[in-house]
Amino acid sequence: MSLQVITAMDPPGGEIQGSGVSDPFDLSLIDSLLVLSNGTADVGEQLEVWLQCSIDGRKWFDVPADRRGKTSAISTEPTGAVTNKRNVWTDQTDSNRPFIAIFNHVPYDWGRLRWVADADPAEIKVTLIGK
Amino acid sequence: MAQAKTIELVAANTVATGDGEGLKKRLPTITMAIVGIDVTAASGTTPKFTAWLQVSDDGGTTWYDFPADLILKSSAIATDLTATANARNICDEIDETGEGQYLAIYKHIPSDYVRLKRLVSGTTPSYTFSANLVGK
Repeated sequence: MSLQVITAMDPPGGEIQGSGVSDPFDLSLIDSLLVLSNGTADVGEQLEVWLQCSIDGRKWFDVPADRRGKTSAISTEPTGAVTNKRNVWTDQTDSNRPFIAIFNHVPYDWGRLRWVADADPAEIKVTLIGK
Repeated sequence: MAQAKTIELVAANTVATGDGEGLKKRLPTITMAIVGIDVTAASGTTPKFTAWLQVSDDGGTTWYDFPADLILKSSAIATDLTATANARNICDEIDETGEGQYLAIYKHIPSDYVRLKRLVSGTTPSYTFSANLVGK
């Protein structure tokens, strides 16, 4: 079992606007997955990113994460760790906080990211790590 | 570690106007799975369509409802949606506006045989849909 690292979203110029989907990526060697999202969406910007899987290579289904957390430097237990949420990155009131989404089980071979952003450009990079 | 296998539970463009079951399928090597139901058309007067997975321990004579770990309907809306946990119905009494993609996640599925069960009600109800199981 070897570690797989996939850069799923790293737009040229580092910015995205509007709605879109990434290129599909191969998850056939992965049974469990981390989706790491790091960006600089400003306060007030709308940006939602989530994972989709394919049943047959044509139809795509939204996949909820088992857990999602947010990196923080504060010493108290951070708020924001949630379960069973769809989005791996979601609107946040504080900027520049990386998200981690955990998918404990990955029974499918193909995934992609879908996003909805407003007209203001948002910078985000999404990496998938799995075994 | 294995590549996923796709198993057709209900063929594409199946039209359901009443209760029924999909194909009985065997899962000899699959231990975790998703089931995707794609409802492409829905019509009728106050129609309802409900579908869920069943498992069998005796080759298909006796069937048991199998709850999913997580269920989510695909959506393009920019909201932090929450999946439904520990529920049976993948499609839960959807009406004539219920077209879309429904996903159920089964983190552990140690069963041998599975099938999709459906209930359809209403006046002249009609649902066009397909269902596939993908697992490793």
